[in-house]
Parts: sequence; structure tokens; C-alpha cells
Amino acid sequence: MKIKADVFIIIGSKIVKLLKQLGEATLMLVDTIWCMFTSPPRRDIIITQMKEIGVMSLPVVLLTGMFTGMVLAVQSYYQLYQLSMETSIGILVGLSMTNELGPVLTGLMVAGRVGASMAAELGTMKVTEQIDALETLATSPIKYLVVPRFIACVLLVPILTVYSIFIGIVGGYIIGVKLMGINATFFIKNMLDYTDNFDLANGIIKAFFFAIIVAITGCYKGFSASGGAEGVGKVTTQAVVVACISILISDFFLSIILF
Amino acid sequence: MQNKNLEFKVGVFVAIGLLVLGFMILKLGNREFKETYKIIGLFDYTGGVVKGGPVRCAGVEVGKVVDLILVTEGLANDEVSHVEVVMDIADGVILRDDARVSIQSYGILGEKHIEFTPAEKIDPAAKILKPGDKIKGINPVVLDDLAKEGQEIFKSLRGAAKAIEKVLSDQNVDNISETISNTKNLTADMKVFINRLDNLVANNAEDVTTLISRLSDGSAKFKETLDNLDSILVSVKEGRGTAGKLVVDPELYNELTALIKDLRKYGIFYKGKGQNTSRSKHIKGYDSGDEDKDMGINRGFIR
Repeated sequence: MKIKADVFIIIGSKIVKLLKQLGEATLMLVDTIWCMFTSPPRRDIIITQMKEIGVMSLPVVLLTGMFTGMVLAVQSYYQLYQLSMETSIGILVGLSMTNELGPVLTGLMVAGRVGASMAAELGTMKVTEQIDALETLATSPIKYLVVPRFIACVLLVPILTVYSIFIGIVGGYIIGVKLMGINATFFIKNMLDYTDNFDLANGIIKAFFFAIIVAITGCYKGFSASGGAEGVGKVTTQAVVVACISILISDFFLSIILF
Repeated sequence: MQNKNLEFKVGVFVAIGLLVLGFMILKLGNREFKETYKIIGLFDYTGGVVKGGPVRCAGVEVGKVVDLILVTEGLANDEVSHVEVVMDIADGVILRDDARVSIQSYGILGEKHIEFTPAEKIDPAAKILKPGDKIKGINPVVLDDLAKEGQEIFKSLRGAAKAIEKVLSDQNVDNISETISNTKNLTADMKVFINRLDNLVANNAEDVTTLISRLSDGSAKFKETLDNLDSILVSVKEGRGTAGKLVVDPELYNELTALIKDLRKYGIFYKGKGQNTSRSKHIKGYDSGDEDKDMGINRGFIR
């Protein structure tokens, strides 16, 4: 009987912890948005974060987007060739890049690169009690540390997504037209016929939500760091894992809602 | 300076990103037609036309479907009588009411679109469609109906195939092949026969020619003879010459009759019984209808 009760206690505590974290993160999000409008942070801090989050993430986003578009074209070519529908690769690449792969891959890349660095940075500040120091100086750590990162993320992840979508389609075009010899006009025409601004907006809205997830997860996990260097490493890993999982799960629900 | 550099990088990043976004929005945007007018197509069956679907004129996209209205008016219980397909047509595209309006499939995925096929010859009498005009559409073939019809055709085809199979039973096939081989033999025999005939004609060609020329000579002579005979007969008929007189002239007959009467009168025929028995017998025969041939001829002639 005692063992059974322990099992329930473990499950219950996990769920309570999860819900508590979710609640705290949500409160943090609300707090961040409130601060963003009531006391916007200094411009130069935001610019620094923008460079860190947007500009520095561009190469990795371009690389993943490009190769994803290319591999889509290669894989689908062999399947569609058997149906003599190879000109519809344009549709496949265009639709999947705008709707799914562009935002999701950008979200994952940004979560891996930016989410981890946020968690590590804020976690180090937390364990070295710099955050406590900020609070003692009557400076809101949310306003000073979270809001700039949040703004930079929310503004720049959609733009990164646009880059990703564009370069993915270019990659698909290069493979399909230059390598596989599909008629360029049909490739582009079919893609434009079946992909429209609705799909593009779909992807950008998704990217917007993924940006919120990455920023809040990274900051929240950083703030929740405890102990020494070990704790910082732990929250960094957690931030990346949680952000990635949240992105994939929310992508599913966003797809249902947006269609 | 450090800060300016940073801002420049971020600025370039955002600017290029927004440019790409704008480019994609323009490219991916639905090519809208700026100035349009509405035309309503009437269909009994639309076969899956959707709002926003393309409208083509002779294959060129000229507008899109903006609404599909189920028309219920005039019928009880809100039954659907037909569908009104409201279309936006680009200004400057002139459609006449003699155009065929049909629903057709297009593209890889076979989406349905409205197709205007202009009449082959421009008929100035045909009315130009004005905004809000209604035009009757040609209903597309319902695929299920087509499938059903196809099934029936296949069924009857199968029946025909079975009948043919029955006709072509083994025995019949044997018979047919026998007939064919017989025909073959017959043809071969015919060939031999024709060859022989050919040889015969070739070898005796001269004789035949001679024969024919002789025949033609003969027939010429025969004709001459006939002509002669004809002229003789004509003379006879006209009473010329001795024979003619004999036949035609009644005088000779009268003379002869009178002569015979006279002869009888004077008893020349009965000169002596014993002397001229054969002659008296002849006369007797004339009286009693004797069957002596010579006398028969004489009798007929005299009479």
C-alpha cells in the first residue's frame, strides 16, 4: 500500500510541478508584455539582443532552410516521377516550406541557439545573485533582462522564418530545375498557383508564437536556475528541450486552428 | 561607432528580410483583377466548383467564381431548382450570350473551373453580356452516370464476346478452317483451269480469228440473200411478174375457173373411162376429199 501511495505522490508532484512551471511561465509572459508597453527598455539593449538573436542566427537558419528545401525536392522527385507529376514538386516545396518547415525549423534552430544562450546567461546571473542585486536596486529584472530578449525574438523570428522559407524554395528550385531538369516555368507556375499569401501568413503567425515560446522558456528556465555551474547546465538543457517540444506540440495545434 | 555598426547589421538584416517578405507576398498573392463585372451562370449541377475558383475564356483566366447560390424560389419545401454561379469577370473581356458556358477540370489535381467557349463565328446579333446578366450553362457529365453507362456498355460487350465465343466453338472452327482450305483448293483448280483456257486461246488464236472472219463473211452473204428474197417477196406482193400475178391477180383465177367449167361442160375430162382412170381418180379425190398429197396441194392452190 505504501509503495502505491508513493507512485501516486510521484505522479502528482510531477504534474503539480509542471502546472506550477506553466503557470509561472504564463505569469512571466503577462508580466513581460505589461512591462513592454508600460516601461519599454532602452533601444540599444534591444538592438544588441536583436543582433544576437536575429543576425547571428541567420547563417544557421539559411543553411537548414536551404538543405531542407533541397532534400524535399530530391525525395519527392523520385516519388512524383513515378506518377509523372514531377512539376508539382514546386507545390510541395512551396506549401511545406511556408506552412510547416520554415517556421518550425527556424523555431527549433532559434531555440537551440538563442534559447540555450538565454537560459545559460540568465542562469549564471541568477546563481551569481546578480538578479537579486538588480531587485535590490529596484530595477525589475523582467524589464531589464526579459523584455529586450522577448521583443527581439518576437520581431526577428518571423523575419528569420521569411528567410528560411525563401531560401528553402530557392533550394527546391535549384534541385528541381537545375539538377532534375523540371521545366522552370511549370515549377514556378504550379508553386504560385497552389501557394498563396494565406500560407505565408500561416507560417509567419506560427513563427510569432514560436518566438514567444523560445523567449519565455529561455528566460524562465534561466531564472529558475539554482546551485552552481551544474544548475546552469541543467536549466540550459531543459530550456532547449522544453522549447523544442513546445514548438512541435504547439505547431500541431496551431495548424489545426489556422486551417 | 561600435553601436552604429551593430545597428547597421540589424537594420540590414531586417530590411532584407522585409524585402524578401514583400517579394513573396507579391508573388504568392492571388492575382486579382482590378476592375470586374459580375455575370451569373445557371447550372443544374456544378460538380465541385468552389468559391474563388478560376473562370476561363477560351482557356485564358479572365475572372473567378465569387459565390454559389442554391436557388429555391418557385418550388415548395425549399427544394433546390438550380445553382447560380456568380462570377467576377475582368473589365474589357467581352462575352456574348452565344458562348458555351461549361464546367471543366483543369490542372494537376483536376479542379473544376468555369469555361467560356466563344461561338466559332462572331455573331453580331448575339447579345453582349452586361453586368448582372444570367447565362445558361451546360451541365457537366456526372461521373457516376458515366461510370454506370460504361458498366452497361461493358456488360453488353461481354455478352457479345460470349456469343462470338459460342460461334467459334471447336467444331465450328474446324468447319471454318475446312471451308477455307476447300476454297483454297478450289482457287488453285480455278487457276489451273484458267491457265489452260488461256493456253488454248493463245495457241488457236489464228484459227479463231479466221473462223470469226469467215463467219462474218458468211453472215454478209446471208444478209444479201435475205435482201434478195425480200425484194422478190415485195414483187410478189405487188403483183409483178408471173408469180405475183398468180398470187394477187384474181383474173387468172377467174379465167382458170371458167376454163375448168368449160372443160367440164364439154366433157373433156370424161373423154373415156378406160383411157384416163388415174386422172378421173384424181378428180374424184378432189370431190371426196382424198388425202393424196399432190392433189391436196393442187386443191388448195386452185381454190
